[in-house]
Amino acid sequence: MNRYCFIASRCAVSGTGTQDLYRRAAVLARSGAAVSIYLVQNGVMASRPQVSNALDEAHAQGVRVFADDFSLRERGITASEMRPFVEPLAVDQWVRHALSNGAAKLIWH
Amino acid sequence: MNKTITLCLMDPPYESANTTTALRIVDAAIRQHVNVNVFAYEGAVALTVKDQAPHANPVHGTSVEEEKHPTTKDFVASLARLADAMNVNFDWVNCGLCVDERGTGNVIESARRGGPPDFLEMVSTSDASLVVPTRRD
Repeated sequence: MNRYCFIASRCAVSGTGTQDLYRRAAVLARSGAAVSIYLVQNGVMASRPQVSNALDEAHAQGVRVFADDFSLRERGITASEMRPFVEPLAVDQWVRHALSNGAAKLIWH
Repeated sequence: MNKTITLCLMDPPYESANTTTALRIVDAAIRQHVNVNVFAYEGAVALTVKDQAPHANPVHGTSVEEEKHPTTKDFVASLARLADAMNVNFDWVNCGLCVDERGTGNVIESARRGGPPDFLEMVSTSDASLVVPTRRD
């Protein structure tokens, strides 16, 4: 199974192409790939509800959505403010995720 | 056998949070006994320039010692020391043409000069690779 690990570093609202990234992840998941999105830096703003329907759709297609715990803390975003499907994840856990179960394609946006 | 990851960095020092995140990934990988290659391209070749110096902050009224301004060359040097301690490979290559264009050839010992063929070799021998591009909106 192909594995794709996207890193989304830009805000879903103001960042160019971020919504397209979510849609691309959804398409890949729908085709049978194992796909994750790691929200980092301003990308974690999308962990709040109602910021992006495209992220909801990606999750509905089976994309796992993680959020960098460091970036969350920097921006004062707590677990109670986050969409339930977004999983806080430390960077060392992401490295483990990215390198486990065979090589994944890592894509930074 | 240790796994290997390659990162390509392109942002110059102090310009983007991307660099901080990338170096956090490098740190986390080394601590998990993952070999790390970094290919510094374009402005990222300045990350390892030896002439970087911490500075005081007149706005805060702090001295050099009080400010503890971090330099990227020290970040990279500390990652190299960590890799030594963890007994994993850490290879930092600066693109030579990018170095010459910018006059950034005076670098710390942890970095070496190379070129795109090195990046190809790194990617070809890695379990995973990550290109961190400069933001161009």
